[in-house]
Amino acid sequence: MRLHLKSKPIITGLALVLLFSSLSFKCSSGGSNNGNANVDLNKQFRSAAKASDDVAKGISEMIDLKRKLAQQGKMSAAEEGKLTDLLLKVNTADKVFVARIKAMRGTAPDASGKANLASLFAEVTSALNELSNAGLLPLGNADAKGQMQKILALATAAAQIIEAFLKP
Amino acid sequence: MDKLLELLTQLTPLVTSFVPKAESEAELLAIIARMTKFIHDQGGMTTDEILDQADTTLDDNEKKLMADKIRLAGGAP
Repeated sequence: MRLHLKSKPIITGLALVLLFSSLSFKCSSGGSNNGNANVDLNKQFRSAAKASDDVAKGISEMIDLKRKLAQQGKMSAAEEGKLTDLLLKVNTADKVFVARIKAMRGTAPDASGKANLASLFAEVTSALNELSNAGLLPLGNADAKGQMQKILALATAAAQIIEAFLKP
Repeated sequence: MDKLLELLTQLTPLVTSFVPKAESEAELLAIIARMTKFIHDQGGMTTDEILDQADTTLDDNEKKLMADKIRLAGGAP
């Protein structure tokens, strides 16, 4: 099978997403896990905290990239406006999720606590999907679309770690 | 690992000066290098510190996005 030249950057991007995900899991061994009974719980909270932090960082990088692409004329004001609204939506959803994790920290979430977290997290994933479908897909400039989509893929990879934490 | 990421971040602007068309890919690689380093650095932080960092980043993001909304609406530059 011969790879088309245009596939190379996409494959590179996907490989880096995999690297990003593996690093995220690998780094979860740090921090303070003191008691034996709380080790799993601490690990779960730590993974959720790290992933929500990764989503926040991904949003930050997307804001900077969006500004740069707009300055380069690769994005219209209308497109930038739409992206700004959708990024704000993801940011707000992640903010609510982080606040909830902070409030629950140190105590094992019961069934309703986990359901509450899952519901809040559904807001984050829904906002990420909306950002992809309504903000990035309609972008007219292929270069701008490709770059933004790759950064979103990184944030989405982090979000999948939270999803694993919330599984019953 | 840290040195490799630092090197990658420093090399990307240099690549674009020699290969102009590589600018967008180099920009992307620089972002990925920054994010990979960011994740690597989380390993040395406590969960509380990570959550505080997330809070700070999200607050900064909100400020930047509100500034963009004002700019796009024709307000402040």
